[in-house]
Amino acid sequence: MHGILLLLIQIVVVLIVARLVGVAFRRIGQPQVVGEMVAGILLGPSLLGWAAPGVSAFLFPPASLGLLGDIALIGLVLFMFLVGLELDPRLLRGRGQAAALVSSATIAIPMLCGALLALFLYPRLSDASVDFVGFALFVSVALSVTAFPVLARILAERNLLKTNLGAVTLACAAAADVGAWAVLAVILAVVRTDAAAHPLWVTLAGTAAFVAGAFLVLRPLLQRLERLHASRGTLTQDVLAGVLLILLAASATTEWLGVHALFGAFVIGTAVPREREFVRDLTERLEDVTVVLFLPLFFAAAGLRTSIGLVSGAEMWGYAALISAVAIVAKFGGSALAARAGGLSWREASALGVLMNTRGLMELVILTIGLDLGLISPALFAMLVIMAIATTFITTPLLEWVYPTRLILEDTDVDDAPDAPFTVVVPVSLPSSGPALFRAARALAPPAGLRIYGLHLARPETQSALDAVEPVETLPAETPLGPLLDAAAGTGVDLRPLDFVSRDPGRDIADVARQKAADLVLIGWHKPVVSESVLGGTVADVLRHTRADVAVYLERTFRPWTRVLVPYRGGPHDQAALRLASRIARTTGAEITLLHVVPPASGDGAETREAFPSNVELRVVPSDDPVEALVAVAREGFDLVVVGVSETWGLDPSPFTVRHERIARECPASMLIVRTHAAVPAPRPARVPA
Amino acid sequence: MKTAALYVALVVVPLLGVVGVLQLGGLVEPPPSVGGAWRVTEGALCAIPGRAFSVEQSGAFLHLRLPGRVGLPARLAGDHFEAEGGATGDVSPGCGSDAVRVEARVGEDVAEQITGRMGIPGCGGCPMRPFVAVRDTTAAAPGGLAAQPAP
Repeated sequence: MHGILLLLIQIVVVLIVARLVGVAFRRIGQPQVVGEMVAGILLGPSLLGWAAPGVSAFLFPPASLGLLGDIALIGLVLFMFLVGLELDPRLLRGRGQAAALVSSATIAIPMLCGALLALFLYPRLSDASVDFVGFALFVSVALSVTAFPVLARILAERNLLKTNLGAVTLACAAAADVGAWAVLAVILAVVRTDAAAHPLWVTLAGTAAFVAGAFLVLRPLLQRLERLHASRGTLTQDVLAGVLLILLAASATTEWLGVHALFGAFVIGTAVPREREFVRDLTERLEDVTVVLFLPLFFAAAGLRTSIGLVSGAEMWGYAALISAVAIVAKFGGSALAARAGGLSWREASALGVLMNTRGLMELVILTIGLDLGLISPALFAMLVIMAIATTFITTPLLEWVYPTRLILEDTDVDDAPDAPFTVVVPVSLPSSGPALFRAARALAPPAGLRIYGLHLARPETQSALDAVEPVETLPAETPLGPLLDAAAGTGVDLRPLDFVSRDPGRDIADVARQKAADLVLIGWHKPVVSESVLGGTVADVLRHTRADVAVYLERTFRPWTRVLVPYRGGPHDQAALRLASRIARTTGAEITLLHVVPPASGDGAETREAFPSNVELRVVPSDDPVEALVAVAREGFDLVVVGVSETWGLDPSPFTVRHERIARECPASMLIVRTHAAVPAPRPARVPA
Repeated sequence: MKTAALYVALVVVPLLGVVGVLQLGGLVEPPPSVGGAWRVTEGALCAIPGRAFSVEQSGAFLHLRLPGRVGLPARLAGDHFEAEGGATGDVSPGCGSDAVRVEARVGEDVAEQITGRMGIPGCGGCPMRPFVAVRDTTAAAPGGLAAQPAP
């Protein structure tokens, strides 16, 4: 097959498998990158080559792997630049002596354990062509490394980025990465010198000169580019080209020196000036294509060299288990011990130990270098890959066990204000819906003592380690809560923004409502991607899990509410709807019309009319189709329909509903769909609640 | 003072331990290196038509890759190893099997020569016969396996 055609087919196959496995892992609560790492192994001799050798030989013939590997290496250069870019020195500064102790110990203790492990493994899994010092240092580095990027995302997903634990963990991970790459550079220099054109002193002196030049010469150049970016207000192609040129030249230099192109990329990433917008723009421009396209190619290239079949027999699997056990115990024990000694609680120290065990793709990068250099054999490479995946895989469940989300939320909750008489939680997804939801919340509250929690739940992938060093107070205005905050400004309403990462918005909204003792959750509705259902998706989750009244607001008209229609059959949700409508009437002066739909043969509803107070206008409409009757009446100039969920009105909050709520589609007025938690059956028709 | 003591206990001592282990490693003897591509220079070998084979090594654990056959697992015991297997099912008349047997001895450290006997046991057409193989630094190993790059 033609080279470029085969390459394109390979990329397509790799991307499809990586996305599928990555999404599957995300579904089970794992970082997507773990799934992508596994996908790479599945495409290699461990599965595809074993189960379908013909397909494997067709898709990945050995002669084609060089090109795939080269492309993956370019991607890794970009990725290591981004890793360096994310390592903000502010993560390390100002954390006190305790953090310095913890970050140093989280490297030193695993390195000692790694060296001892190397002493055991060297006569069993290495050979005389490998020098013990290089082997032992490499195993030490492999055990001490932490995947900073994966760790930052796990911290973001767990809303730990801005906690003391998150800050110390990031500082430790950053120090571990810098330390690991520094030691690896020394190993590379020593090992490669045997075969390279340069003597050792040239490599070492050249590397030292390169690092100094990166900060003394290249950093000022990058600062100029940053100023250019600031003056233009955007990252122009010229500025991006300048950064890429510096990056590639640096990578070429370190490759020439014999300490690997990735080292140069990492150093240049750390040398970029830490101007927030510049770093953000660079990351946004480079991250997507690197993470979505290049990293899966690297995982595939690594997976194609990973043959789990080489780990055969009880003895070999025993070694693999030993490596994983030592890696976990060394990193967990060393980190937790140091963190406890550094002043963290046992729970926090244990959580830090668990988090530092996240080795992820940084481990894979380092292992690949070791395999290329012949420092480790293919079988030991496979064992270390198993360890890398295992230690990353167990991080999330272990963290949940050691430090459950519930405790994290309680520990990070600094809301010590006295209870308000009426509390509304307002989750905001679309920024433009904020003002309307604020107006609705004010109208639904009693006259005094309203507190609103504006809630924005960010997607995990939008967070990065940079968010850990940004001041808290600058964030809510930049989130979709901005318009809500603007609408509340000057009204005197106690509005408190909450902004955190969520993988399960429905459940998290319910948790916040419980924690804040909310009386009402007011959630906006906008058309979802895959469904027309008003009460599906996140809304359904909120309705199912929230132990408070929930109102779903659909804004159709922008008129002030002067005429409110309440369809009523007497069920508990209808009562809640009428209760909220009564509040609207009190706060806005709107007129309330109660709609009671009766079967045509049941008379004119005179008995029903007597059951309601005189200040509410009652319309009794005989009809076999309550929804059609409601829509017809709503067309008579009503501004708002407040309706309780029930099958009568075609509003059944089933979690699996895919049917269109006809009433929501056809009703011309804005709607407030109400579901009460205190659902007590009531006689029909019931009296209007006071 | 307490922090300094902790620093010594949790950082300095482990790093000194690493240095100590690196020193101690000089006393540990690894298996000889036999991984890579090999070329048979002496011996009429019916079991290796192309007169070339490769060895995939992980310490004492070996996989011999003979052309047209699946890998033969073996284990180094000192400087000796024995391997048997790689049957293809293509049994010649008069032979009970076509599984290859290798009994070999390697040189010290980074071995440059393998000597031993190789053949198909119980097969008159391919009896166990002596062979000598030398490291092939020019060609890629047969069976799609490249030689391990020398550090």
